[in-house]
Amino acid sequence: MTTREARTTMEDPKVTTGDTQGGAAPLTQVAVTSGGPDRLLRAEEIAGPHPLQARDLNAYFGSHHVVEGVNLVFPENTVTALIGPSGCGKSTFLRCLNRMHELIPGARATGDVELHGQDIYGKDADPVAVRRAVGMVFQRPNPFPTKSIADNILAGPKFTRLKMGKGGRADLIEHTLRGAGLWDEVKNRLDAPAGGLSGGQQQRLCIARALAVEPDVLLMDEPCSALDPQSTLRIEDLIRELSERLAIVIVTHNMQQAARVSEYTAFFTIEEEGQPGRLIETGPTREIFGNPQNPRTEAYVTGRFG
Amino acid sequence: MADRAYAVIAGLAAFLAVLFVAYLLWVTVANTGETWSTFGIWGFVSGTTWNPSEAVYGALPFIYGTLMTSVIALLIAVPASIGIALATVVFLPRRLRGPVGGFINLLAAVPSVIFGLWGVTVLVPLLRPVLDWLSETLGWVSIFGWQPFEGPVTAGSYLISGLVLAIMVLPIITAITREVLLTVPRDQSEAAFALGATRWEMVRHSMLPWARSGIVGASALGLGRAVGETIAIVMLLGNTPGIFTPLVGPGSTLASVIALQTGEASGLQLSSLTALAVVLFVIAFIINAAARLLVRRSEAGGSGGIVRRAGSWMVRRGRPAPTADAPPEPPPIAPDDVGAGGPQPVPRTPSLISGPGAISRSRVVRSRVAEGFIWFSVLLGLVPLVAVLVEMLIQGLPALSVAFFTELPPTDPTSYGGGIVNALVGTLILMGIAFLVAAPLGVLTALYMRDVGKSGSWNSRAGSAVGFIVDILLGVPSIVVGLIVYLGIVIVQGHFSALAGGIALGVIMFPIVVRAADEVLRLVPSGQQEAALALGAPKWRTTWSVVLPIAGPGILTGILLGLARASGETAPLLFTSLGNQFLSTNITEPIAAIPQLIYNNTIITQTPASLQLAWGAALVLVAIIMFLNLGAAILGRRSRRLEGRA
Repeated sequence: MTTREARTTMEDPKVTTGDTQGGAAPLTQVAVTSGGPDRLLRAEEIAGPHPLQARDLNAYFGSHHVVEGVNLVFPENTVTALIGPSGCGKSTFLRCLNRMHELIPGARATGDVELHGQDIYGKDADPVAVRRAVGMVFQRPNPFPTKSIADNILAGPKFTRLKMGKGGRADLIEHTLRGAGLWDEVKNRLDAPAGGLSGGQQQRLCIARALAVEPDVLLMDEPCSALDPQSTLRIEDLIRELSERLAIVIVTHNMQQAARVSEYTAFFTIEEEGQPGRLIETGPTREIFGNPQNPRTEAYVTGRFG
Repeated sequence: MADRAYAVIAGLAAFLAVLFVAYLLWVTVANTGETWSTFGIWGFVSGTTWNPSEAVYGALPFIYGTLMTSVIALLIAVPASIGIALATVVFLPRRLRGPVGGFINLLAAVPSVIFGLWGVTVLVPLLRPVLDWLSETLGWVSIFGWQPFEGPVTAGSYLISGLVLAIMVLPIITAITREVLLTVPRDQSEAAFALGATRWEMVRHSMLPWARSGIVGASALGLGRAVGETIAIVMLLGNTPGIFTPLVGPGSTLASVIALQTGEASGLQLSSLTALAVVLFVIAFIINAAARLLVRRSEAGGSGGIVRRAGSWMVRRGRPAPTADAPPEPPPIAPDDVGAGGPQPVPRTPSLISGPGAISRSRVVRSRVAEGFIWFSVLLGLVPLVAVLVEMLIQGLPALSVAFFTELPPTDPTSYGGGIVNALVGTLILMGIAFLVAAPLGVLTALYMRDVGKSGSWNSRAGSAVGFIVDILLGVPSIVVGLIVYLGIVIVQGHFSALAGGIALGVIMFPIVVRAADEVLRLVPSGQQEAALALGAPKWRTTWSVVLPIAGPGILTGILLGLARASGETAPLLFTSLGNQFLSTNITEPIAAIPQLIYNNTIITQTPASLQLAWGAALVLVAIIMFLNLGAAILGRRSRRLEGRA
């Protein structure tokens, strides 16, 4: 009941225009019922332009079905948080969005994911180009430890063979490190090995490294879970800043973090052990936390389960 | 009281092993005295002449020969091994990775003497035109006066020796490189993939930098193996000491000259040969020590060890559960551009993910070339193996018959038929002696190192000293073992004997058994022992009825691997068990052995008939070794399950 009351005190009329009586929530795609075209359309309306969109995405490890029938749209210049209990498939889903999932032995995905209207699982799509266009930051900071800070930034552009002069490289290094809020801390030791940085610095370096190839979308898989609280706050600030420039999808275990950084939230869960994870509810973050339509979402965000 | 006895018995075994090593060391030192005092250490090492008829002995031509053959081998084997290891870790389809890796490992099971036989009968004639062509077209090339391709081309040559040596060290370098590559954490390869790297770019920028020191270590271990290699070199390099002689011509190495001259040497010459063995041992020891250090450091955390340390402060945060009275903050930005017409974000050119523009042409070419090299390496590894196995079946199978296992070799080397019963029985007897020497002593020594001493006690410190000696023994080239056993047992007793040969093989086998047993004992869960001790069982009972049953299969694996290694050795038998044309079961008499029969039939009596007998013998020898390896693999799999539990 508390959440109902909370809802009345919240004002966000624009996004709550759907019918509230239909069992399934208005702005919510309930994946179990496999969102039809109209639901997707509605999602698009809310989202405005969106670089990335998943349609009926399923993920498997061998014969084990881990993510089932997810439809989800990621709007431009916003942060979308994926939340849910451990093992609900949210990280796996995230890794399907840039074809990292299939790198794990026996892993595969079906369905389609559109990047600016191009199916990344299409026949002609090159996973290498997909991963360049959809960047990723991992749970544990993973800079190339023996390479210098500067060379970590240049690693991606080196792959894509961008023609750059010496000045161009220096500009790119400064630009991306500033973008990641790391410039002032490392500008005097760009040639030092990246392995010598602190964990928080390493993670910001990884974000800078991902930005250096100018991705269209940035995926973040629990980027703060290995960091101390202070580093976490810095990264969260950074995420908000970056969201003015590109779409960000972040998996997080920390609901306060989801509330702090994201505009949209998608809640995943599993019925029971061995069942595939499903998308239960999605909507503006404030709605999901303040007025969840699905009882399971409510149970999760109020801490009664998961 | 019984515990005391157990500690004493195990300690005695370790002490006996150490004592024996000390004896051999003393024999060596005593024997080289004459050389050192005649030429001086530096004078001997830098001496460029080796001339028994004038009693002048210098080691430099042999040091040069050893290094030159080894360097040629590594130049071929290192890139090929890295290529094969990468194929089996990254590039091959998953289901082929294991089989290809295992197949390459088979190369390691083929004894040196068989590569020598194959080199002499197949490779030398096959590559002769290539060498002739090299010498005709590049014979004029001169590097500071050294003309590496100047004729005449000879049957034995540096190039062929180096090539065969490369094939022989390839499996060990590949296996260790593979291990090191497998320790590269997945997040490192994912970091590269997530930036849009191709597989080759991932390998080049993420895996290889991480594994670099481990790969250097693996190459060094290969070098350690190459410098000690004896019998294949004796068969393929000829016997002409020289410095900066042509690569298409013959040479001589430390190991090969020891093998060829020790039998007839005495006095200053024998002393100088022993000094050569010391030089060889020192070279091998330095290389092995450096290699082990590099591999160990690399496997302990890769070049990225710094990161692990930096990560020690990391705080793993639990998920704080928000409650109803702490409502989440409202989202920072409410999307208000519902429907069409809202302010559009900064226009961005969408990235291409397909078609020719998605990846630049030069990247595709580069990655293709790199992958092409990797497939070429796999071929380079597989072709010789298949060639040797096919040749062995084609040449060896016709020789096999019942008589092959029951008759002696024909006395006339040109007549076909006959058998190898003397060598077969001899090999079995030698293996039996080696087993009796190495297995009990090895297991007891391992128990002493791992089980007897409490940490910090005198016994435990002595245990680690024994471990150090075992590690040194592991790197002693087998020809050096042969020579020292010759000095310490054959000369002392005054005659060659099966016993001396068996002991030489036992010395080679001993460190393998100790290391294997030590590894498994380490894995026995301490909880199991504590459970038994808590029931009031004395230490020796716990070891006997709890530890050994668990560790048993693993220890047996080590013993079988040691036997497999010992059964293929030729070099240490040359001047210990000597060989015997007749069937002998007397262990105080010289005895025949299969590897030695192959060697003699290939080099000394090289007739079509003797070669056919040699190929038949090779087939039987490989069958024995495969059988032992198979047993080891089956038992090994069982004890790996133990590792899973530990």
